[in-house]
Amino acid sequence: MKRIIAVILALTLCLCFAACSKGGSGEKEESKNKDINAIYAQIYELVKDSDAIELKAERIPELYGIDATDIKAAKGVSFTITDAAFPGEAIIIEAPSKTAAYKVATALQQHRTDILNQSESYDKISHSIALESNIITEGNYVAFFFSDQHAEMEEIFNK
Amino acid sequence: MYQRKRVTASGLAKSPKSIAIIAACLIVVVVAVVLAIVLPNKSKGSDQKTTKQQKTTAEQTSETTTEAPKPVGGEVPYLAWEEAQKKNPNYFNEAVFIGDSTGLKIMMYDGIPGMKYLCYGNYGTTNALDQSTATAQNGWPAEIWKQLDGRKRVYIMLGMNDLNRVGVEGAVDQMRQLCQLIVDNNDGALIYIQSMTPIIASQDGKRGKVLNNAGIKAYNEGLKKMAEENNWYFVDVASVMFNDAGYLKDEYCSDPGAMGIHLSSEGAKAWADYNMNHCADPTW
Repeated sequence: MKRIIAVILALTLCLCFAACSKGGSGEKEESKNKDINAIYAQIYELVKDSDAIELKAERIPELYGIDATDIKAAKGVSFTITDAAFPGEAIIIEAPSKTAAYKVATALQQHRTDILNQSESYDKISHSIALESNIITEGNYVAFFFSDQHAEMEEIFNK
Repeated sequence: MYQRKRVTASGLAKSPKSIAIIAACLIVVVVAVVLAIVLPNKSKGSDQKTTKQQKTTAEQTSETTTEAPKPVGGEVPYLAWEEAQKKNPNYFNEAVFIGDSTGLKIMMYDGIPGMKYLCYGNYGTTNALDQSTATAQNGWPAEIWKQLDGRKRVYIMLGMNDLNRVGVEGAVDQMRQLCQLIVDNNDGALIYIQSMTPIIASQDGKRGKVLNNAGIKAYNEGLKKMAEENNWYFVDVASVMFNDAGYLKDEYCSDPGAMGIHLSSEGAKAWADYNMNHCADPTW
């Protein structure tokens, strides 16, 4: 009987440890690996003739209000959208964890909201593009494509 | 015949070894459960809006002058960057540019190393001064004069979103008020008012009663006079944006079929080059 009780308690202990391992801030969940350089190269091809400017990775935290520690790697390009007041943007970020990816997505969502609200009264082109452009998250990867070609860019990202 | 030995609690309790084993297991289980509760899971995210300017760290200057140095009146001895950096290699690390949607391309182009940018769509002195408009939804900063991150050279190019609202004189006065707030809230702040860039020929006269090249010209003249009266710099960057007919150069315009006022990369480069070749400091 004593042995039975001891075994039951040991099993309970194992279950508790198993539960602990699913949470915690140190998680590094496996996510599908993406080559953001390759994705960026394909997207750049779409906009290279649209007055494209590559954004330096070190500027991306300040440009988008993202904590630099939430970025493992980043690529970005700004370009002209015909007759829009707002420059087009394509940003791809690899975060170090899913938690960081969530924070990055939150910051980019705020940026999208800012464009929506700032453009509403005077720039219908930017406003309608912002309505259609979404923040995409896949594992630790986050992307934002503010562009009239956002559908093609999303397809490249999702491959 | 096998007889089940009836185990009672009192029977168990009588064995010290059993007590020790059970107690140890219970302690470990309790600790494991507590850890499972205490250790953080997924972050629920923050509702706090983070703005670009709030993410940067403060860079306090060591200057504690009681009065801001006054720019030289009349002709300003501007220096090109080649000469200016010999006097102060950190000149543009001390600079911040406040702009509207015409500044967004300038911000993305980033043609002046070290410059900080605070540019927002549909922004102007009207909503800079009206704090009720600085909401999380609009993305405009509250009290921009307190968001300069310790930078003392303040370049400002605003007016596009003010001229139709308050007219030329009103826009000039609002610029004066904003610049004064910047000076009052930032020790040693130096103001570099930028002339407003023009509109492309095909769109001139289509953007409202005052937002046209004639209105912009009058506004720039008002800004220059106001800057001189307050001993602030007036940097006439628009002077390199005109074509021979007095309109924004076609190659500098990114929206010729719409507002005709936003800049291309070439326009952003022209803006950056002009400012880099017109550096000024009252101590030089």
